[in-house]
Amino acid sequence: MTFHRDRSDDRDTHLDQWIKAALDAELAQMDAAFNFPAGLHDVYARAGLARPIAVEPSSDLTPGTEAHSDFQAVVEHIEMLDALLRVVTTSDKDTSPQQSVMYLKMARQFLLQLRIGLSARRLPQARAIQLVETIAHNLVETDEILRAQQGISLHDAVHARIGELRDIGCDLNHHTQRLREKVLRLFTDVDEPASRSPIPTH
Amino acid sequence: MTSQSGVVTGGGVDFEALYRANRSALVRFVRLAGATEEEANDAAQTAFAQLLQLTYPVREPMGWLCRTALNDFRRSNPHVPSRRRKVVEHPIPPWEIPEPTTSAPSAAEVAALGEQTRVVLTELARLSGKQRQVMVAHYDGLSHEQIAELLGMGTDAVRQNLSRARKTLRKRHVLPHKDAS
Repeated sequence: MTFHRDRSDDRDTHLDQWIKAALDAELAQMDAAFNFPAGLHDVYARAGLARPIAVEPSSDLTPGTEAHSDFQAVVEHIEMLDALLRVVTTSDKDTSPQQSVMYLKMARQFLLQLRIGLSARRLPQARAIQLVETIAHNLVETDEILRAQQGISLHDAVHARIGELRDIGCDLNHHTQRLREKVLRLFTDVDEPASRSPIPTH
Repeated sequence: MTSQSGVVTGGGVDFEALYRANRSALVRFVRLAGATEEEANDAAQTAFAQLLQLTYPVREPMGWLCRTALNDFRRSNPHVPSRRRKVVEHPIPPWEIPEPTTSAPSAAEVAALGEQTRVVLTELARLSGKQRQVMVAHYDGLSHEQIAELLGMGTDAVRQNLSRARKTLRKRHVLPHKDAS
């Protein structure tokens, strides 16, 4: 495969992804600052309707619960992935191509959005999975750029920077796949769907 | 905002999921039309309430909500001609993200990543009002036809505004430089 990263189409694609990421981040911030139960109460009141009681998800992320344990597993996975990506994007001896750094920074931003959204229990399943898939896509793009321009994989780049300090085990693709599974688990508990689902699945 | 092709009618789980997933995008859309934060919130709440009252299914609920909220805002503010409304932009600074209930990322993490968001949002805020409206609606998932209808312009004008906005942002080097941390 030949890469022509400086073509205008590619620049538009990068620009589009960057703008979309910023606008989504703004929405995540607005979501985090808004009281959704109060907002829904107001909407139903304006419509002159009673709000169905059953649709309010219960808050069950208290320490010690299974839901909290699963949530913590997701947070720890996000932190681990973010730490690995951080060493590539902030290294003093960074020689990575600009576009690969951009993809990594976007991936880190999406990780942060995922964490904030899940913490606040305001992220629909579809958007959560979309974020994970976008993160995975960005890592694949980074890997391809590094291979084409520097002859190394993203996995090699991470290893080169952290040296023997930490064993990251499998490659980053596998880590994002594991993250996807853990996020899905948050939404698919058959016993207590409301307590585990930030927002019920469509 | 996701331009959802599903059918929504009445209250319940689907409605509340739609509300949670799209309320902020709707508020932002009305704000870009010249509304204050308070006016945009009010118009969005009214639009969702009207959606709740419908007795027939709505395809493309986000398009419907945008149109209804925009009309509500314009009806409530007839003294402000739409073509002369100054676009008000108040992006929430990344450092003002409220702390989530559990396992919050550190302020340093938020600030470091928020810087890139801030740069893009600042440059978007410097675009002309129409270009910004078209851009945000486009990235929020609305089709060119929906944007054209909402903003009272042709689809060619939508494409032209998008193209010019992208060109302006490229000239301003919105994409990050390698040495940016």
